[in-house]
Amino acid sequence: MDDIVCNRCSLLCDDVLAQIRDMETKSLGLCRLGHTHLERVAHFSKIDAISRKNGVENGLNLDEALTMAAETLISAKHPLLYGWSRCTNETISEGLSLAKTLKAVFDSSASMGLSQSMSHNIHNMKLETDLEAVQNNGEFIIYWGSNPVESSHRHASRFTVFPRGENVPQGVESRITGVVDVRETETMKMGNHRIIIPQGGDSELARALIDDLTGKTPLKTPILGLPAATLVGISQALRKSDFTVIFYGSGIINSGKTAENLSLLAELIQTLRDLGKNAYAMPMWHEPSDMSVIKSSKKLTSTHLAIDFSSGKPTQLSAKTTFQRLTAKEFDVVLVVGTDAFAVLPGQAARGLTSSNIIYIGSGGSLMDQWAQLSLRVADDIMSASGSMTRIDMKDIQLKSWSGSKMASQNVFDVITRLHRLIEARLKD
Amino acid sequence: MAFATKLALGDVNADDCPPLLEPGFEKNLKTIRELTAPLLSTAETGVKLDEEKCTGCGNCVVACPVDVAVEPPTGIGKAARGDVTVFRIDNGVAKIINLEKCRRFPPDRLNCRVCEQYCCTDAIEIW
Repeated sequence: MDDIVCNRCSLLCDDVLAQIRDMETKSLGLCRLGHTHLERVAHFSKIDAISRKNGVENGLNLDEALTMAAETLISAKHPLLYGWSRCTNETISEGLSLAKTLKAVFDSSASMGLSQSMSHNIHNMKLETDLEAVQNNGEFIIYWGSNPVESSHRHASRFTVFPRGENVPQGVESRITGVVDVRETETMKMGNHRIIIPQGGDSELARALIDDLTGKTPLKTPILGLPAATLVGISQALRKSDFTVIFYGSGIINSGKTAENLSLLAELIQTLRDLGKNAYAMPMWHEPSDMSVIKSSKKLTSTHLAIDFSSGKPTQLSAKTTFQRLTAKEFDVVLVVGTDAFAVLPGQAARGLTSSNIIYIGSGGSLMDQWAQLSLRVADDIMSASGSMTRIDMKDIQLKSWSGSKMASQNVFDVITRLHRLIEARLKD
Repeated sequence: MAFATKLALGDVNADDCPPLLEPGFEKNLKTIRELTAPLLSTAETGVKLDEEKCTGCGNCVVACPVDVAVEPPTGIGKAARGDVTVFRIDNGVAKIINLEKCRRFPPDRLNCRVCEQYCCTDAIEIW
């Protein structure tokens, strides 16, 4: 078996092995999500392209498909370049460059959550650390509105709760784990402190903990229906811990009070720091390339949200979000790259997308692949394994070429680069 | 108390206690036999793993003291890659590849349940 880097989720596991022989996929260490992903994309490594018109499918070679894609994009009045959720840093940079050439809007699944936290002061305050630091030092791990058992299976075993570290030699027995959510989750099974709060109660809980830690209002009465003793337990654990990390997820971002929640989490971390403790807040998002998109976007503009190149300069998409514009059917051509957009977009935006002329570049077998007017099937980056991706803690992980890479003659980066060069040449003419 | 300690460690069994074999203690003998059965032989204890429920998270691999001892990188969260551990994640799900190394079995016969305790999807069951 060969060493590979899994690109199924934002952990980008680089300690796993895989082998493909006689169409059979075997792996060691890959979680169910990773293995299923590898198994699926391994069978779609051969490049081909399909165009669809009036229900009739036509097979195309790569050159024909690229020409068709270039013409469609050049003639578009309001193009959108969307997706990028399983792409390398290099592909995303090329995609941003293509968006500039086309004066298009560039957006990704990061807009649905991660971008909001990375645009917030919680990120500017530099409250993050890297996962290795958590593994080596983390004493109190809190999953707040995040559920790794569902989305990033190896998060707890590889970095946060279970592994032994330099200052936590007994692993799980040296650490305390807390889980805060609006329902009982599977993650709670590993929690020493399990806090179920009403929907939208995050800020009230954070405020109560801050007030107790600062001595302003000691916890003596129930908060959010939780007994004071339960909350005192978590507050005392925060006081005792010399290294606390809060992994906050979609429950914090999508609760309707995003800015308030993030501000209070940042204040809670700052309160712990004022008490002389090491404390961090880290986003928990499962899409593997969301952090890559944010890092690449940051090189062009201060925004982490959708970028509008229609003026020729990168600016933050204003007035309406991409989803609102998709819902209003404002994009006539949408280039979807490396993402099954129908599976990730909110319902109304996905419905709006169906009225656009869709060009899809990505692995075969997805809903997008089956719907797009032009679908260019390329090898997934877990197969081609060329380039780098950015892990959820902003650490770059280099993909590792392996025997399966021989099955992937061209990847998304190659195709996007060729498409971009073709478009540039046509525009010059 | 000394007998109870030896019983808990699996050094003796219920039938080694003469009073328990006397008439009138049949119910007690049966109960103690049932309680100590997991300590006595591989035929009477075990770890059941439901692959349908397993997500391959690897909590069992990293939490298992035997795995950490025989393949130390698992202790710092790395995937088990050899064939010496009790648990290993094969093709996306946990597999028990060396059940006989489990501390519940001789010579340790400890009432260890860490894998079951930390399996978030309840895929592991110990009896």
